[in-house]
Amino acid sequence: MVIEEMGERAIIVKFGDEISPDAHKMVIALDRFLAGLKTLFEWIPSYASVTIFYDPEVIGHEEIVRIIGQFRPEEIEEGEKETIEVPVMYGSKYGPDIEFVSDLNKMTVEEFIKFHSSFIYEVWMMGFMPGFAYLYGYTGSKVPRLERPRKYVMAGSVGIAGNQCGIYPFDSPGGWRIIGRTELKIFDIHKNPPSLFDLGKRVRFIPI
Amino acid sequence: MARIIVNNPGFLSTIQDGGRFGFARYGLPRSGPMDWISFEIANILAGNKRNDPLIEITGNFEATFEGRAFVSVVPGRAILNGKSLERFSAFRVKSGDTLKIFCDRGFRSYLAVNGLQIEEVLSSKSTCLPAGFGGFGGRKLLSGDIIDIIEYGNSEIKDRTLVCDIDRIFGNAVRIVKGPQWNLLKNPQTLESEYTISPDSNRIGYNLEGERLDLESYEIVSEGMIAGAIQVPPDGLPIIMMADHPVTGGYSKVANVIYADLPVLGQKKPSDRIRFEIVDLDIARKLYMKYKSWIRAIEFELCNSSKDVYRVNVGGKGFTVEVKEIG
Repeated sequence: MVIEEMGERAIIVKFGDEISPDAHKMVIALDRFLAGLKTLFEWIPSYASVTIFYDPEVIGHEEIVRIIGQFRPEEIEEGEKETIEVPVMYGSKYGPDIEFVSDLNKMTVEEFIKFHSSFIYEVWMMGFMPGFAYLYGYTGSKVPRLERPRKYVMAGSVGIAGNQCGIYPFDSPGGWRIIGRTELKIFDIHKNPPSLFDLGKRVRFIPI
Repeated sequence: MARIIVNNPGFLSTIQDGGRFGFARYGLPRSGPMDWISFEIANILAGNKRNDPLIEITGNFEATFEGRAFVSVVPGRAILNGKSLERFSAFRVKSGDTLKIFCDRGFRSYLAVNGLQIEEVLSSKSTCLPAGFGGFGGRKLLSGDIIDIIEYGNSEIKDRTLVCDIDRIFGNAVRIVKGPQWNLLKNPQTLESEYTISPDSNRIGYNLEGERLDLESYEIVSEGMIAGAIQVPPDGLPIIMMADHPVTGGYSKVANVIYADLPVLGQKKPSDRIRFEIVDLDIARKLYMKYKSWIRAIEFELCNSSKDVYRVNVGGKGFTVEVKEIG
């Protein structure tokens, strides 16, 4: 665990320089540890680090470092991980890149749908845009991004890039290969929390 | 109920408050003002709380009022019914009054209105442009938009002008501290050369044009970022994260603009030039406290004074303040 400064209002607690299940485990543990405290700061968990934002008038950086010093990952219980079922219309106009990704995996489209929906995915990071979850679990061939991002990807589109999956919460430009679409509302400002996904939540794609 | 009717929203006008806190973990940008100093002074002058919602204006602006309202403009020039007012003024307006805001210095002005009615979405009244919610219908203001205002109850309220020097924010010096990936930078002295704000800059980020930075590695495992973070993509041209920036990013962050100087950037328009100055983290922390206490001093004087003319001298290199009530 390494602590780095990012300006006078943030620090980054790092667990290595790689995306890995071990780093993810540590991030989950620190996230739970911080959630269990009555903290005067906000934080963003990511793949291998947790960035903590603070107001130096409210809490000093030494105090945050002291709090992090009390973090004992082995004492944090893993806890239940909620699984969210995401119904997906694979292929056709909903997933224009499904043939490309199926070919890449040397599968027919039908085989690929079965393959892609066989995994249990887990949210390893949120970001890019509100409600966007980076999902890990896919073990097929790594999928290259589009050479030129699409100007318009519809909300609910399910994409793959590398070995990550994600669902676009809003209509937006996007460079991931799109294989299907869900009608689930990924981000809803009338709900609290507004995001369907959160760090550590699990996801199953259900072909419909 | 009074109302403000937008006649001309300029390049980009949005509702912003102190920012949206507590939702970063779901990927929500913090939003809030691009120039927090002008934002807070505008609110204080109009008798609002420091972090109340107001209208952030980019470029020029024009609106008409229905009913009575008490408003302030910082730092642009306010022109009421064709008459130019003193800079940093708070003043009463009545039905039929037309207010023009002329951006004669900097790029962004703050129009604070006492009692401006904005709905709260996810604990903030700021517009989240990237996701299209909050503020005024989740979007920028357009001609013809009407916002309700609760008429001020205090009949004692007086027009007033703050004699205020915030020249620093119109200068080109931007202080930075070394960032998490500073050590990847192979030509660190280059960062202190002159950079130009690219036309491709907005509330999300400022793209800079100038000398290219040479890094050992441009990509890192994505991690959380804060406004002011300077990312360097593989083309070597730095990008500064601004108010609506994405919460995570995967480019190396070589430095971070200090909070006290974010307003310097907020007042820059495309083709303006800036020059980074590296300072110690310790200085960044001290400046943070100092600037915050300056604003508090202004607030204290404006809230507590019954004098006609009074002066707040908060010293230092930043700005001195004198407050006089007029009319």
